[in-house]
Amino acid sequence: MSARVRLAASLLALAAGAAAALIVVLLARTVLG
Amino acid sequence: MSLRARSGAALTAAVVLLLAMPAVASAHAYLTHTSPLPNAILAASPRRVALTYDEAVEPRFAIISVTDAAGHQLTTAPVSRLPSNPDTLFVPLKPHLPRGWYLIYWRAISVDGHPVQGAYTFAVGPEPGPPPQFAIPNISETATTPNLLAARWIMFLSVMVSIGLFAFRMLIARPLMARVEETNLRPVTIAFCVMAAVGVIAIPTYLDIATSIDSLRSPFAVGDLVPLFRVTAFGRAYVDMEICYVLFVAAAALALWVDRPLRRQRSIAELLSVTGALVGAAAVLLVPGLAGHAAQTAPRGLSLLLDWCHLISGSIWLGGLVGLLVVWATLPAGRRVAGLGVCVPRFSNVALASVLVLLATGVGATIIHIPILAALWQTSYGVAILVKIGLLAAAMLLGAVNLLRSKPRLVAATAQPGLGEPAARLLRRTVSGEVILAGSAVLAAAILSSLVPPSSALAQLDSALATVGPSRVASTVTQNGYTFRVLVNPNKVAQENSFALQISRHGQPVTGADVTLTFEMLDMQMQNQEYQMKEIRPGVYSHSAPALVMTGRWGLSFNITPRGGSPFTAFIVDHAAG
Repeated sequence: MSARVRLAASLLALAAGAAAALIVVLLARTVLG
Repeated sequence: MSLRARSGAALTAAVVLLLAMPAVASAHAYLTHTSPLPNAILAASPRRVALTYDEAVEPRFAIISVTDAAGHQLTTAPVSRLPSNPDTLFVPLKPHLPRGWYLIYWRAISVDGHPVQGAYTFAVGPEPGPPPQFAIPNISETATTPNLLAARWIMFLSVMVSIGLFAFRMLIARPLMARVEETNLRPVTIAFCVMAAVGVIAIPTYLDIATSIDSLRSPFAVGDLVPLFRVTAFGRAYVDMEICYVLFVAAAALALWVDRPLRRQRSIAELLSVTGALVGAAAVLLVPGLAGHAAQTAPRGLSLLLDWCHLISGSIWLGGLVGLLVVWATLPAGRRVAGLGVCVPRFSNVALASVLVLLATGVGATIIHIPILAALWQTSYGVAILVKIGLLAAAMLLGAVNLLRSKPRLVAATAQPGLGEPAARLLRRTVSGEVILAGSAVLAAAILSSLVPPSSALAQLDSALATVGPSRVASTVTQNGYTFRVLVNPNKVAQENSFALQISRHGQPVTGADVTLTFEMLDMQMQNQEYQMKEIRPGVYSHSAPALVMTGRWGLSFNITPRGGSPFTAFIVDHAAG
């Protein structure tokens, strides 16, 4: 596995985590008004 | 400013911000207005029944039943929302209802997914006659059906264990392969994958069952239920939780793929991917609080923070224990003691911190949710908390055995190999026990979060002059130098009851006072009723009404203004039975 593939995979994982956090922030905004 | 001072200032600011977040009055929907009014005697048959709630409840999940004394249903169409007011639901009635008494039973689903319900009567007059004994619908119904409870338990268990297993694999057990030869972390990864797969299925299954109960449909009518998933705030939150959980599982899978545990130093790619997965896990664990009681209980920010930390620490503890068992079961016999010697000391410190956070946040949440200490043993919500505390306390005792006996012996086994094997056996037994107890505590938590927290009105129990009922009441109490004789006859649910209050001071009847009587249901949120009492004899004030519309504890507040004196309230708790 090349370093480039590993970096791309890790950036993808980071993006997935950030997307989950964004969804929850939007949900919290709706719930807490 | 020093680092410590800056941290202190930031912490203070965070606490102030959390406490300043807006609060709501109640966790559950309650009626603010009804048409007809409770116990009203109408001159003509009403065309519809309209109920106004404090929030816009979903008509597809609501029930409004209107029945006569024989139990015949008198509504002609399903529940609809009033176009002019989204908070009002109504049902049309059959035309020309005959004279007599009618029972309205209602159920609605609150924003946090819990059903709330109540009942009251009205009459079509003139001269409707005495109110009959209505068949009161089952009012003990809660969100805890066995199927729903099982689904909720499996969901919490799989989500928490999978997140804990990931943290265990990446942060605790990772050095195992580098330090002990011929060991492998693949079994822990496989255990994570299995739990993650269960979690991905369990969240929508739980949402499907919850929606089927709320909308009175079969859980297998998936085509009908899916469009209803995002109708309530509760449903929307769990759809979001599923999306977040899938994102976490994807990030975790990438992190596991990128990870090279034989290298002690992590690469940038490894650090980034673990960070992504942990952020995703943290996001997932915030959702149950946002979808449940925590987001509806003041102070909401603090309540959410406690719930979040509680779930995070519980996940790390439970998942770590499962991880230890997997390591124990899959390590070659010759490497077991050495392998556990790497994992156990690292996990013990994390587990101790997790348990302390679990304990502190649990106590904090209990203080927020329980209005009075007695609610702990007087309400099913309180009993569920006690059971959970008992299970966790037993699990912590086993944890203490690990910390004080197994861990030091496993560490010493490098110098004295004879100590290792018995310590590893003891560890397996205590950790298995801990997993069972902690898993049962998650079941208690699933029950707990399905129950309606005690009504804030329960806090008034402490101020009650007396607790009376369930049969006919004739009690004497004293307050502010006054003596009150309270009479409730026959003290039966859904019947015309006579409420009388005889007031005297220094043996003389107190005449000419203004007395109103307020009825407040203490076991659930519902609209209060208030009546003016008439003085029928010197110092004796009376009113008759079918005000006790359901079984349970009623708060009777006699608001008394003596002639020329200051007003005060005499509060009595009456237990009404059928």
